[in-house]
Amino acid sequence: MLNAIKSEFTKILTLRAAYIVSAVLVVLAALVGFLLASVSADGSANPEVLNSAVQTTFTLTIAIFAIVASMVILNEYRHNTIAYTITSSRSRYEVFIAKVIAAVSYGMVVSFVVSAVAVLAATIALAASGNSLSDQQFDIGGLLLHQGLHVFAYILVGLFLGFILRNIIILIVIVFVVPVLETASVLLLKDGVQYLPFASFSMLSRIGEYAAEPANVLLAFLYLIGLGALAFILFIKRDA
Amino acid sequence: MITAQNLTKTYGTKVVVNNISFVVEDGKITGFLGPNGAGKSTTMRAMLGLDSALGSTLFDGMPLAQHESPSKVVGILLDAKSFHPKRTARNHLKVLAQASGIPLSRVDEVLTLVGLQDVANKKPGKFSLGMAQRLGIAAAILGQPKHLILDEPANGLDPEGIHWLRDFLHQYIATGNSVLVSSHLLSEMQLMAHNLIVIGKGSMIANQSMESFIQSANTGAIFVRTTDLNALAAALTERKVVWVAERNGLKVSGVTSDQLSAFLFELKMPVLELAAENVSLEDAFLKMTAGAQEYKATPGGQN
Repeated sequence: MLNAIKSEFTKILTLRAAYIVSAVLVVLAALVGFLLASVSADGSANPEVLNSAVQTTFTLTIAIFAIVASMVILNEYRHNTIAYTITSSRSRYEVFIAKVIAAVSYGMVVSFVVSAVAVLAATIALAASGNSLSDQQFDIGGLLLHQGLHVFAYILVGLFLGFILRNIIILIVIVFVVPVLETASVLLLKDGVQYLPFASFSMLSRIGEYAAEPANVLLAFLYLIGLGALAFILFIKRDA
Repeated sequence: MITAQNLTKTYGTKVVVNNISFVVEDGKITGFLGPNGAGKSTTMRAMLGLDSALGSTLFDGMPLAQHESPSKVVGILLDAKSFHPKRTARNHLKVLAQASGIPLSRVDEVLTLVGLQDVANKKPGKFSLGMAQRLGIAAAILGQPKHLILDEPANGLDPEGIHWLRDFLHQYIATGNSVLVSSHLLSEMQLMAHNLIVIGKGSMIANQSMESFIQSANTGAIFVRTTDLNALAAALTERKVVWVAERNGLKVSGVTSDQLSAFLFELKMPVLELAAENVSLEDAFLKMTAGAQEYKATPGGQN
């Protein structure tokens, strides 16, 4: 199992695309942090600027985490290296777990870097406009925890959909279009919209008075478990 | 030894591999032949557990998954282009080595062995088919496996590469390893393989030694050329000997070359050419698989 995990990490770290995507996410985080802080810095700083910088960054980039995670498996099918991966391991179960561990670890590290850059950029922008950080209401623990859960959920969604669909186009459509459709369905479902899959994942990111209820968190994890179980069964049973 | 037992693979109602059983013997190269769409690649994938199929395949008496390290039991080359085009050749092999717990020093060893040491740090996306095949062979032998399963490894190789592959495989089996190799290069296969498995439309056509396979297609006919073919034909017909006109001579069946040369001597005809029919693997293969082609082109490019 350890060999499979090491191999999965090497697969990610030996592709320039992984570094390019990470760099793009970091640049986006810096831009969002800087722009949000600058916009709100006329006179006194908005006490929620740092929170907003992180939240907005992830709202804009969360789908990218899912797509990048999906590439951990989709690249294997696209370039037909899955035959090597499967035959070098004693079971597909090991391969599945190794891919989950590698994708989640890589995604979480990048998400923490992105959070830090967003905060840093906003802090620099605030300081440049003569505002004090002491004015900020910034629950860093809560923010990291909830954004971490949010990113974690999207990484797993991307990865599991990759296992299930084996098709990047359909995956991109799902990750970008379904959340929009869910939001639009509020007209029909009213409060019930929060129980839809992507809405429940988004609720994981909320903190403070808008934080998700335990039931919402449980529902999000049930969706993940269901999706994961389907992905696992299909990976074990289907032809490679 | 690899033992495939009753392999059957269906897609919906279409049976693409139909109850195939064979043995790949240690110390021998076993050629795997069949027309396009015969089910060769599907059989190989089923053997490796990549595609679900009925039946079983045992590697030295055990399913592949029960071996401690599958990569040290079987090395595979199913598709020359099985690599990420943006990951360097060295990193591609490094990934495979790590997955199997193979020392990373082995990566450079196999790159040197297949002659790719100079392009080890190049991305293989722009490799020629021949270079891609060499990288695939490097991946297959990375774990120094007991068995090799190679799907058309000679495709795209230059003559030197084909010669190298043949020598390499012969050296490989010399230590008791086994090789199952498919190819459409029949002249090369004739030089390379000891045993043959031939399938058509998913079913077994032949499973025997190369020699006996070729001999099974040999009619024993003799090609003869002399100065007066009409006279010879008439004389053969008179003696009820079967013949057919072929090129600028006659193909005679049912007599030995000694009998035929004596007959020509009797007729006072000079022997310009007398040769027993030389059946090649290609002749035997075409004869044995006639009617077993999944896809058949129009003869002579007619439309």
